[in-house]
Amino acid sequence: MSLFSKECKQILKSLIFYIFIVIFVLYITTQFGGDAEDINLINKPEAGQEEYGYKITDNPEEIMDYAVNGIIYETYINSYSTYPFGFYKEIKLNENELQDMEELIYRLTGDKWDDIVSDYDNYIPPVKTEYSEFLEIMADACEIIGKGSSYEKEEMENHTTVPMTYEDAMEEYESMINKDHVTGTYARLFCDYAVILLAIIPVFFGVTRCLRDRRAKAEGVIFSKSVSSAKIIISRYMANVVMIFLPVLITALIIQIPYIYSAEAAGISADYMAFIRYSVIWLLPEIMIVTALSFAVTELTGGIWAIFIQFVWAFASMLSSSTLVGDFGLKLVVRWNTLGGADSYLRQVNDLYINRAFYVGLSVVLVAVSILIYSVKRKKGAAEHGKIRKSGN
Amino acid sequence: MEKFVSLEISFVKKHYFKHILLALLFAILSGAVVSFKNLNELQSARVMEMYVSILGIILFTPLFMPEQDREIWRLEQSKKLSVVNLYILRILTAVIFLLATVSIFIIIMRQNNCEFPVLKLWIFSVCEILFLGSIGFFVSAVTNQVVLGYMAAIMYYMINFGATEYLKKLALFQVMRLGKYDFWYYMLAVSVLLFAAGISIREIRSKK
Repeated sequence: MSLFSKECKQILKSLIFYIFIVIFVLYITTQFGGDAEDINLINKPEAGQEEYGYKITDNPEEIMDYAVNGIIYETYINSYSTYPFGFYKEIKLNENELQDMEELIYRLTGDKWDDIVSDYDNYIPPVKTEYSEFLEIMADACEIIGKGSSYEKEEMENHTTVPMTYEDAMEEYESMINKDHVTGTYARLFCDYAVILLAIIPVFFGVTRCLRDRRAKAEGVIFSKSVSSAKIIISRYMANVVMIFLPVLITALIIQIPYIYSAEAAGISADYMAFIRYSVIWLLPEIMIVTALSFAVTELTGGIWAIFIQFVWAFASMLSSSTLVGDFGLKLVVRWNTLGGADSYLRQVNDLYINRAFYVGLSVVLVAVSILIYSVKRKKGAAEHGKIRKSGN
Repeated sequence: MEKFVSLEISFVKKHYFKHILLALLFAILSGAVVSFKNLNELQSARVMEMYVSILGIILFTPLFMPEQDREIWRLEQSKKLSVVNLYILRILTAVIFLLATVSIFIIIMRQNNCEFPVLKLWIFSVCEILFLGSIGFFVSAVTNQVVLGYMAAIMYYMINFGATEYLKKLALFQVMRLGKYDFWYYMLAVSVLLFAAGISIREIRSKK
């Protein structure tokens, strides 16, 4: 029997595997129940509705209006809200910094600060700059306030929302039908939920696997086997990745069923492969990198420290994100916490591919590092406990 | 008693010290990550519930670290000494660190002009952190796998970001979300239950 299948069987017998399945299925089903309200989004918008929801705007004028109002208010009360690591942090400026800020506001509006303050309640700021100059001024403001303010470019461009019109709603609906084939939009939301748990769960598998030999006091025996370190680590790694991904994939296949039925009932041809495709692109690389990191750190330290490192990384990635929709960059936890937005997603999809490819590459490097560390430990083990056998099992 | 104290000192030195250092590092880093100035009640609760509560996982989950080595566990069982007392002493040590850390955070926030009901938030934070820690403690006690203890506690913490309504009175982040303090006694009761059940089940299992 190959090492890979032995490892898979070991995982099948382990408690951690079943705890993972229970947690994952409960979490996904409570978050993503396929409730009627969600499925109703397939309904076509009708003219004359009271509202059609909101959309993030990329209109420079709307972004500038919103941000200039905000910066004037925060300067007026000298209290700037920032979220440098996802936690609220209030910034108060000193006299010199406030003067610099007032100068920046003058450049934005053409109005002196004293004039603004004298009639603050009735003041409506005119924005007198081009968008590029506005961004430069806001970048200067961010330098004064510090990291995580509302005036960072990504923050402004990702968070300024405006009400949708009937035309916007129709465009959104058409994209959902023609580009996402209904299931695409739900598959992204599924990945958005799953990606949070999968940013941390694989680390427990990795640490458990790497420490199992030591717990069972079998390190010496395994060190003395003739099989190569690369074969041992790669089969362990692959087995863990596969066994974590399988329940995710099965859950995805089951979760998609009500959406396929609803689409078919509405006469829309659903994309049967969407959940699988999104899971492979979105979730598998994350399982790979988290497992690889846990292997490398656990082999290196011989302890449970990978859990803390991974927890901090996952948490920082989640909390430092300026938006829950896109802006993938090189974030570990990539989010798309909304239904719809197919056009916006397609504009950013290359960034997602780059992000995930980067983590697949990094996983390969970390597995190689794990093999190297394991080889060194084996040699050391051989030196301490006797020679490594050259042949046969 | 002397013997217990000396065993506890040995446990702290050989096994627990690294975790205390980690908790201290976590507390020191808070200055860079979290603001303690001019927070209102809900913002203060957010610091305690989302940030400081992680201390529960760090302090209470690794209390069975020495017994990960089954030979040590068997050796302990073979002695006349009551291991239950030993475990209770470990819990008390962790509780002392917890009380001290929570108090320091509360004092720092008060000195920085944060507005919140001091005693209420102190009691709620201690109970919430104890509750989160007791989950890790219980799972690592009954499985004798510290990794599973961390997994259970961390997963419980993370699940609270989206599924609080299903966790009812045992949901975390109640104060920062709803401004409600009246769940602390449920959390305290369940914590005591989990600590007691963890030790009892472990004892019963080890004697089989």
